[in-house]
Amino acid sequence: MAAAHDEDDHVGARRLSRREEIAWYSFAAVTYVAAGIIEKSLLNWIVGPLWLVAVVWGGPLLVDRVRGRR
Amino acid sequence: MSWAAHQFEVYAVQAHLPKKMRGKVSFWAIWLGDFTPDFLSKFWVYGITINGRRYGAGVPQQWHRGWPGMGFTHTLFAGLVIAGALWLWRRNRALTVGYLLGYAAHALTDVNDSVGTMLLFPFSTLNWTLETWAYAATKSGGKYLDAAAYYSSLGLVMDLFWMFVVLGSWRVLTREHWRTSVVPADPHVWSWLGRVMPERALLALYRATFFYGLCRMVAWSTWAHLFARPEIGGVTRRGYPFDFSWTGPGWLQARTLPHVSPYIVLPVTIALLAVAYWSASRLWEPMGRRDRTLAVDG
Repeated sequence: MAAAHDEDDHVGARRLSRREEIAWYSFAAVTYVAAGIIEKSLLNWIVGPLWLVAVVWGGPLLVDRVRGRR
Repeated sequence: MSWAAHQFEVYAVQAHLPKKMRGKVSFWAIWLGDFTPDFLSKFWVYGITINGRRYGAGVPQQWHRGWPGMGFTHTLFAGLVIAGALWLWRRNRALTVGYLLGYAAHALTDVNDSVGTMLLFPFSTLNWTLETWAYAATKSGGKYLDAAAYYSSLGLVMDLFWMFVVLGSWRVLTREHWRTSVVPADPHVWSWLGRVMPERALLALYRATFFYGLCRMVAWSTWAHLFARPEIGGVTRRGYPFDFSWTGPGWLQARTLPHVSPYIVLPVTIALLAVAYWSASRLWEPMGRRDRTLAVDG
């Protein structure tokens, strides 16, 4: 399926710039480490990967919605 | 046992496949092969506590790595049997070879702790261990003591070693590698996920195991050395002390099982790793001729 914009992917979601990507991955890492130190049960192979996917998927969506970008 | 090393080695295997297999071995099969030994055995090692009563292995190291016990899950033999079953079921070399290499990586890495693995099972039930750091899963200490011991010893160095192996092959974590080498080897899985997930989420999913390994290493190390208040030798300390001596940390008694001389373990482990890669490489083309997925595609 053709993307609507060059920066859009196969489902029409916005691709992140390198800088945005670094910011979201860093945010995910810092929050997960902090949460994991406080609540060790979060440090497992299900929550850890899901944490990253949720932040990188949902974070930009939320920011775009707040800014009224999409 | 090893901690984040098992997450990092998934990418290390992916990055160091023989040239003819690059872009053709399933990442998810490597992942599943690497995780299977602990999926099958670890849940009972620490046990669970319900209403103040602990349910779990009486002797964790015997359950986890011994025979009788679930130690067979950490053997090359088990990896071969399951990979063989996968081949008979799916006739898919990307899946079979990936699974076998992931499984072998796990079983061979775990020879480093003081319990080790039964490398020659079922011909021998003796464990093979390098005694690099202490196996520290105990009934009373549970996961916390195990983590504290591991991240105070050469276990931490092992995790860092595997992390740097992956970072040394950093391209394995890039979008380009994911697009050109990972997706083509698992097209059905990624296209199924891609029906609902945007590309940035798919890429995050691919990188997520590395992320998890890195974060758990940092989190457990930080907790063990900055926040924990252990009592060692009757003295309450601020953080567990580091001890990078062989079979350390010395503040804890390393668990063990009957084993072979550690001096022969390293050469045998390297030889078995070489045999696993050599066998996979030699079988790659013959398996390709019988591969159902390739036959359909072709």
